[in-house]
Amino acid sequence: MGHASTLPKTYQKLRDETAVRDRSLREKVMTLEEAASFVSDGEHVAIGGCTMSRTPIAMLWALIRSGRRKLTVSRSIVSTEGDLLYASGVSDHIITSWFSQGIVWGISQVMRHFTENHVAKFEEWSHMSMGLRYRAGAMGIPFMPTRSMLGSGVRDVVTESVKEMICPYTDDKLLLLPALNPDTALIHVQRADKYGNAQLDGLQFMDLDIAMAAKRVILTTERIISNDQIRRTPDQTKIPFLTVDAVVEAPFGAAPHECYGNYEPFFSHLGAYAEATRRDPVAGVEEYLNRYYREPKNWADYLSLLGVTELLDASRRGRSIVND
Amino acid sequence: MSTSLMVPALVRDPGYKVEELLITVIAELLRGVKHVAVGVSSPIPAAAAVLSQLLSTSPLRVSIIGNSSRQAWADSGVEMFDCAAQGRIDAFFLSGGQIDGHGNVNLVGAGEYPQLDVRWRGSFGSAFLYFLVPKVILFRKKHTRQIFVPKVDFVSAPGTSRPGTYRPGGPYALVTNLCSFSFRKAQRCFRLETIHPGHTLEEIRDHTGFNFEVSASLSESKVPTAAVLDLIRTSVADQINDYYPKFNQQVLYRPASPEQPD
Repeated sequence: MGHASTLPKTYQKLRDETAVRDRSLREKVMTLEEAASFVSDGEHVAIGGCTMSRTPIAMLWALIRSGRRKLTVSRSIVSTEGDLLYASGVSDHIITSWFSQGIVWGISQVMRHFTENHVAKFEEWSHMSMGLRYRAGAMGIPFMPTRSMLGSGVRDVVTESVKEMICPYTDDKLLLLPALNPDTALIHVQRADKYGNAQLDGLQFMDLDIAMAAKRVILTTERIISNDQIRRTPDQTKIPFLTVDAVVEAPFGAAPHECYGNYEPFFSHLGAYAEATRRDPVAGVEEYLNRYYREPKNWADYLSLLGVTELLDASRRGRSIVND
Repeated sequence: MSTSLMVPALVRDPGYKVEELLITVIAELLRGVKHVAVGVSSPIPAAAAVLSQLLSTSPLRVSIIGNSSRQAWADSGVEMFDCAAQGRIDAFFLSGGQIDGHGNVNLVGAGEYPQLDVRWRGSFGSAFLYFLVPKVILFRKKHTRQIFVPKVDFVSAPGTSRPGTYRPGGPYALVTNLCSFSFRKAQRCFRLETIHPGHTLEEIRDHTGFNFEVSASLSESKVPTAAVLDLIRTSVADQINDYYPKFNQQVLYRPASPEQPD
């Protein structure tokens, strides 16, 4: 099974792919397992959120359990989910601008193991380039002109994927970043209705562009709210239903990462993970996958493994932002 | 090394911590700046920016990126990059796994790409800011030959660019545990400006892998006065506590809030 090409398609091909989509206002609520079946081996899957924020952990959990292989995965910044995607074999190719658990934990030893032994690829673009590639995809244009990455070695290692031109207005050299149109986008939000109208609190990162650029979107949401409630504040709807193919209610769907206004990162859990993978990247991550990803019977079982104490602590910190 | 034998002052408590000295040194470099932005995981630059603001006679805006309930404006970082591109940010901080004598910064890894011996976390938006922010202060506490190399293995962000390149920004200074360099754009090299108390030129040469110029007016770094130290331990610590409670607890004598993990 080969990898998905991440190079831009022609306008017509993009339009055709978008045009055949079902735009009806239909119920799309389903289980994690049902949603996971939307993703095929070898596809390009984009992940919403950034680092530890609104990572669609529940959906990735389901993908890992479903045994998907050889996905090309892109994300603005990759944290522990990248370790797990590499180690489970779900992905051997991650496209991002920064890859480690999070600043406080140092460099990911799992990422180091897989990249330094050339088992998996960490394709690095600058952060701005990632955002502009999704933006071009969302706008339905084949590329975005920029000066980003010019002069950096990062530009040279992706040289086969980029072209340059002279700006017709200023005579400056410009880099043309190819649009990034993922096959599937996985996005976790605070609330959505059953049709897939999603409202997000906190930072949006690249999610709105990813949703528009993707051929299909799987939403996981902390809770499903009524369409009436959505229509009361339509200005807060950031992802429209017509981009969405699946809606899964997944409470604590980003745990042990964070979901703004609901819970902060599960620090003890993440600290223990960092410690275990620092001791032995391969055994550490394998043990973690077995314990938290393969053995739990269902999502509730996974959450109970994280533990009520940590869950309460993370929730209390998450909600504390509206305490004063 | 022979130098330590010649410097008995090393064993005497100078009355300040090295972090407080670095905060003072960096604050001095920010003189005259109108807007300084500080990236994540940078308690010393953040404290320096706040100190400079408190000492400045003209208005200095400080933007600290990180988790804070006090931020008035946040848009996933887009706000900072756009401001930098438009010329609304005058100073910023970068660091690197390797930094060479031409001001090139490496955040990708050690060894030949793609057969890297060590893979680091990635370049993120380093080159963007290096090209567009006029005064980029390179800061790396640890000063070793593994870090300060003759030539970086990978150029995440180049120190200088070919003539004709649109580049209003670039390296301004390099501050370490041992000393402070300025960057000479035309000469494409660093110049040693001040040495921190207790250290010597010989020691700096021993620990630096690249060649550098030495200023004709080479001097000892200005140490924090009692008044500045007091400011650092009170007002400055207060203002960065939201972002760096652990740093305060360990360094600036601030008690950490037991409810907030760092």
